[in-house]
Amino acid sequence: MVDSAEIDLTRLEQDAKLDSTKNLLEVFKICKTFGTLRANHDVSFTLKAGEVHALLGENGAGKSTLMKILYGIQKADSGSITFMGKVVNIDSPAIARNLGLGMVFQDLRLIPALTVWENVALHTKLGGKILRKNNICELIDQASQRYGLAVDPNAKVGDLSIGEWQRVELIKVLLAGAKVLILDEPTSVLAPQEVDALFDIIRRLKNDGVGIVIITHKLREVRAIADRVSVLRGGKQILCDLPAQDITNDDLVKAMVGEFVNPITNSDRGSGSSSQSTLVALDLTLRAHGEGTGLKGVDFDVKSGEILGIAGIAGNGQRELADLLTGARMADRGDIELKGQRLTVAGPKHYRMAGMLGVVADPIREFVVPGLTVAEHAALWLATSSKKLRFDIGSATKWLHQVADRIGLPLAPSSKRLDQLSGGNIQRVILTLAFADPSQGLVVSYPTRGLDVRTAEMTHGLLIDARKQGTAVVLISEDIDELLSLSDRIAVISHGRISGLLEAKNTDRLEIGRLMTQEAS
Amino acid sequence: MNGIEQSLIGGVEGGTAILLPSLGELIGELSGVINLGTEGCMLAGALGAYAVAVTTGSALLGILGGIAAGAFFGLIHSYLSVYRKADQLASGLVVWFLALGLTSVFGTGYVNDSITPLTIISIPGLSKIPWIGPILFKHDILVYLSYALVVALVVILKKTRLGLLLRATGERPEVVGVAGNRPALVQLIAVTLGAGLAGIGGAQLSVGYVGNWFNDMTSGYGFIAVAVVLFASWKPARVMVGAYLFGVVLAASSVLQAHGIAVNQYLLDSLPYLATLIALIAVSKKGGSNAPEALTRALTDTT
Repeated sequence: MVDSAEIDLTRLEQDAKLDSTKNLLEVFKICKTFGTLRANHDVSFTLKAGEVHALLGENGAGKSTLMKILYGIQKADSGSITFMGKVVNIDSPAIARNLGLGMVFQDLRLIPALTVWENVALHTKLGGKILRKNNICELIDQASQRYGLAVDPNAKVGDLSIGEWQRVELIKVLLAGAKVLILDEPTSVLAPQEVDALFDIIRRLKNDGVGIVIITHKLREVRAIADRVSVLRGGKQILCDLPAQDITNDDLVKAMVGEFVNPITNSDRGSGSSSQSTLVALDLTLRAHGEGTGLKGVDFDVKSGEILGIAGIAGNGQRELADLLTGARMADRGDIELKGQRLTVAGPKHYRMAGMLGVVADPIREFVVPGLTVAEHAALWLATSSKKLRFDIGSATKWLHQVADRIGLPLAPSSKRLDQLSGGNIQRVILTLAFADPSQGLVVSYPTRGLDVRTAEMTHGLLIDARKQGTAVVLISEDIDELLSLSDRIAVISHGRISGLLEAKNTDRLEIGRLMTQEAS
Repeated sequence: MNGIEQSLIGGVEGGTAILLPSLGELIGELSGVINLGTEGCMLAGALGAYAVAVTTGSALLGILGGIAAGAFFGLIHSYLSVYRKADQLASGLVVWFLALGLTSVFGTGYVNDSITPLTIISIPGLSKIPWIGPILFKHDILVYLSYALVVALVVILKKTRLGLLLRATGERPEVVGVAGNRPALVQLIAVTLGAGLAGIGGAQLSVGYVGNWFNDMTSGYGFIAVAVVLFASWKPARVMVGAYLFGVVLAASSVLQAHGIAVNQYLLDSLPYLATLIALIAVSKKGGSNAPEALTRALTDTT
């Protein structure tokens, strides 16, 4: 029983050592179109054993399509894939896996109700028809030790942290015999310390001869870990197989975006805001329901003309906080005041009337009404704060056009159905509505999610404009760089509590990261 | 033999007709498909078994007829709900009505027939144990089959890849698909197999316990089975306890009536549903539910 475990890992090593000079994977001129959209046009790259290859690109650049083709979820229109010297036809995930291609998806694919070893067994076929639990657990322990992937095989996956989920996912893919690992935006769910731990793991895998493709849009990661880079933009290949040290950050951004975009920052952060607290949260407490931690006595105040950033790992109470601040849910205990007006038990409509607006975290679930057009959504938005009975699409459309012209975010035609638009298009509609009129308070969750770099920077500009107009802004984000460059102060949320309140100009990623992972005391 | 013992013996005998479809329903629900047509599959099984028994003169062969008839309707339900993505609840109810209608039409000819029911097998030794012996070890073969099935199911679910695949499909079919398996096929097989068990449950009534066929003879047992699975929060051993509990309540009412104690029949008939209501309230509390995550959810196209 133990033998099979050792064979499994040494085989990996030997295969890789043999190939360390040759290409493990060659992707050649892949094309894929969806209707009129060219998702991939002549995309190529190569991967050697023991190499980390970063695949860079903005949202919508075609990275995900390429990965889906590599993993057999979608089929390329033309082009070829060569794996260990042989041209292969990857028609299904099963084929990809049998070849030795392992994929770690962004939305980690594990089953929460099952234990770690059961998840591994499901994915790897290890342990035979009658599951030999001890055998599987031993293999997991070996892989854990070899690569520093600490995890308890008997733990229920649903009880683990996101960082642990990712480790389980890696173990699962490695034990399935992967020689090539494809990691899709692996750091998006992690705290800074966890990112460092992940990079350590990647280095160990590299030393063992595993070839690693890391899909990302973060330059920091390219610098930290990548040997070579390829860049996609709008489905086309901009850079191919370039050694990472041969290119500057500025050139990489230019390659990704097509031009240089000046990052917008809050230049006078921490100053200029009035001393008067506009938005006050006192002892906000909400019991945990299903997912999430709930809130446990959250206090803060946001002054007029101030951006308060909320940093934290997803699922530590951000969603609950946003819901309470917009009246979508009611707190079990505590108070919310806007300009001295107590809003605590009012419904969402009263929050709106009082001048409290929100940009929701999950537009598909919380904003989009399937079947309604962009214009109808605008009318719906207006109707919330209107006393008129008439639902006036015509004037709503006109209003939306005026607002869009002023704000400058490119919008899809107002006659299109919102549910049929891309995530970025939906987000631009939401942002346009939220920034249409100056508000007293604004709660913004993940505003730049799904946006390209240029629109993201425009959105940052809008936030800073709102701040200048005297709005009290609460900015919830998982992007620490975004928070650091925009916020006046940053509150870190962990396990439903505020674990620290920092002046943005006097802090750094590490301090925030430490507070993000602080255990509940 | 006193009333209590009679109730308990009847509870196991009649409870088996609930236990078998409950186990079948459990298998289906663990794969993520609820089958409200279980009642229909039982009816089909009851008639199928009876018809084969009348024709061949063998109640044992009848059981095979029961399995086939139940599985046939299970196949309809799983095809509709898994491959055609029909609403599981609606599809299940359709199967029930369809089976109710068809068994009424084809069953008319069998109403006055008679058969030799399944023989009672006393397990040597065990059946001599006072109290427990007659209650557990003096029954027809289907009762023993149901004991074996409970044990087998516990082992399969906990210890085998097949069980893991089944549970995983009911939780996150997409993950099962990406892992290189076919969740739709798992569901189709699980539901059809489960319906086959419901068919045996029907056979237990027509060629075993009751030894006769009449229209709508399952009288809600199939729905009780669905409730039992919920009541047992998807655990096979608890399903067994739940099924016998219902069995005993139903048997006790007959015993009481035989002793001349009047119990309102309508009140008794509503007992299972009252128990279901309580079970629903108990398991609906958020976080307390053990239900498969993907239960009643249609598969997405990527799987």
